[in-house]
Amino acid sequence: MNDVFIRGRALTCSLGDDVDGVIARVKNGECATVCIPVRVASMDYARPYYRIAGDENSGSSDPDRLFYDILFRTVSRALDDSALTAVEIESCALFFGSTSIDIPVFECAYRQAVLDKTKNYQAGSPGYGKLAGLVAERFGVRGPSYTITTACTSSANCLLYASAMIRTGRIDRAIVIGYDLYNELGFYGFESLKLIEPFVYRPFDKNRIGVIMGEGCGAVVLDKNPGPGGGFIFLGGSNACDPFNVTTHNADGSGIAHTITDALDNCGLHSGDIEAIKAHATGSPVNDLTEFNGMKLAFNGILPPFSGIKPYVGHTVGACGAVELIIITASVERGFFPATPGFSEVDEEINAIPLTEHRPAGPGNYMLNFFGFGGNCTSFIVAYRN
Amino acid sequence: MYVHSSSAFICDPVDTIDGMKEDLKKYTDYYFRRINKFIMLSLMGVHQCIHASPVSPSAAVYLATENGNLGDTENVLEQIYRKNSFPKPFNFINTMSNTASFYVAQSLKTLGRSITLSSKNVSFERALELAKTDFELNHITEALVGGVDEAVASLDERCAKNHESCHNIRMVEGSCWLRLKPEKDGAAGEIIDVRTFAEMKAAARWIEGAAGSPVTLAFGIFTTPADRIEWRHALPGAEEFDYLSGYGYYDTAAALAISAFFLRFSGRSLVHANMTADGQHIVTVCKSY
Repeated sequence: MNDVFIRGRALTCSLGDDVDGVIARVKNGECATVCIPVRVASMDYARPYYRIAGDENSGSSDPDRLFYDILFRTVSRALDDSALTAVEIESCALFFGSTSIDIPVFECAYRQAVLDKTKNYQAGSPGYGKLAGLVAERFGVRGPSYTITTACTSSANCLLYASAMIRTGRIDRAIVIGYDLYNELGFYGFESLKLIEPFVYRPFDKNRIGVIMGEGCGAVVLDKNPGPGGGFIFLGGSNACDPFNVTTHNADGSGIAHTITDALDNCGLHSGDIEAIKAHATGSPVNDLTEFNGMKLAFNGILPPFSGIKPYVGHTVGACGAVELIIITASVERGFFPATPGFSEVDEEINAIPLTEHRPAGPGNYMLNFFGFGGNCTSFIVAYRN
Repeated sequence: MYVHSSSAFICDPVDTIDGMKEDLKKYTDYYFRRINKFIMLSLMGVHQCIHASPVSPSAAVYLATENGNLGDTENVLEQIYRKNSFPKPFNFINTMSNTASFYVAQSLKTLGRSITLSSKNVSFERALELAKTDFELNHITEALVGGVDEAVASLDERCAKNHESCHNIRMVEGSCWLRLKPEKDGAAGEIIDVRTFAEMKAAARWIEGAAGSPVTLAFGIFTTPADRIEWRHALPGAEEFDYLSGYGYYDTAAALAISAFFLRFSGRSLVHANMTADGQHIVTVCKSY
């Protein structure tokens, strides 16, 4: 079996588009939301959203171009960071994880179609694999491509399968992309479910109300060989389905605990081997309760330090696997594990206390957890060897 | 990976799923509310494959699709842009295609992996690769791998997408599944290999040694006439299985080819030759007992 190294990384999110700058802002505890007006059903209010700078006015500029620019520039920077040769890039497999895929682009076309009273969605469906195909074409990637769409675990599952295929020798390396931009289908969909937090993002806090969504593009290069500066090894993990309900996991945490335990087993680790946990921590009352119950079960009540990092960049839905992996690994390389902004008051019902200050971090094993609609649960572990 | 059962559910394009709901009751007593056509197709196919036999609680579900849920995405966009209203919650939730794999898992009471994936033109083959990886790492002991797609409504769109090579092929709704295990006992056959080749010559060289005998040859819709000649030359005497003319086409029809092969043929090998969107050759080799 091969080892799997994190060889290159790049991200674009509300905090910027260079890893150094983003992590500096994370260290400073910066969070940057904009207000999005709710325009349907004669409503007159707004909701916060973490937009990528320059994207908030995209409706009046060229959203198609911006959509592809963000994607291609992020992948390009990740490839530069990996120092792969052209031959190595050609041999890459490509994994693309997203909830919305190209819905942001399609919505513009649909709006126009409404005005024109012409096209319908089915006639224009390009297939889920379209974006992965465009990335492959753009960068000369000739390996197999896989678009995984499992809601908020999409790019986390891409990382899981890319690493598994490298481990077994089926592929040597992979470009893993998580990408979700603002789209009205998702924004109004979450609002229709009453899941959007109107004020401050505060996972695990007593007064938490819900999710604040964010835009993100993360690109990670995994390789059987270490890169020039890569100190992280992707150990593996697990994916499972909690069939309790399509929108919520079983509140007793059993489905989540099963996934975490299986991830530890698959990596040959015990619960005491984990330095810290990046929780999914959406900030919704039920999800945080369920996740904490799951962690308690899996770790027999003795939890490693844990944190939710969505308040920095928002819930980037299908992209959060790649985006949050980059933030965590880059933070640990700089000597800290990020705190949870917004948390100030303990919820006695669950008694979950995430990190409220950045924690010094160094070599060790770090667990990252992701949970989503459709009962999807994913947990993986990375090791920092410095 | 050994194939323990398979299903090849197809039907003419339908506007409502009422008929399918009645049919599904023949296979499961599970009652589903608020599901759409894509989910219903997924359930029909997987329950025909299982035939009410017990499934391992840790069985993994890999749902391959080219287009996912077309109907509810259209509904939600219409609600937002034409009706100027919020999406109906269940329409919104059902736009996420992994709700189909969720309902498959829920109906089978499985807690295992649940993956919805796509890969331009070769989604089903890529799903087989993910399952094979999980078997190799001993992460799973049973897998359900399906190819599900709604019939695309527009004939013009279909023909343009397929380079006008399918004028005489009818479009169908499709949901075809394989039940895979690592044990040979009780199996109907096996998936020998799934390979991708940049060049036809390399594919032809490899298949001469990899195909069993007697061999059945089937083509994906994108395989060009010139390449079909090459394949026939590489496998002289192969019997052809023209499943697209016989059953119809939907966008993950490779699942139909392989599932129908296991249902119809015994004691043969199948070579299914397909093409990726960037012109590479992807070959699936199976053997039925």
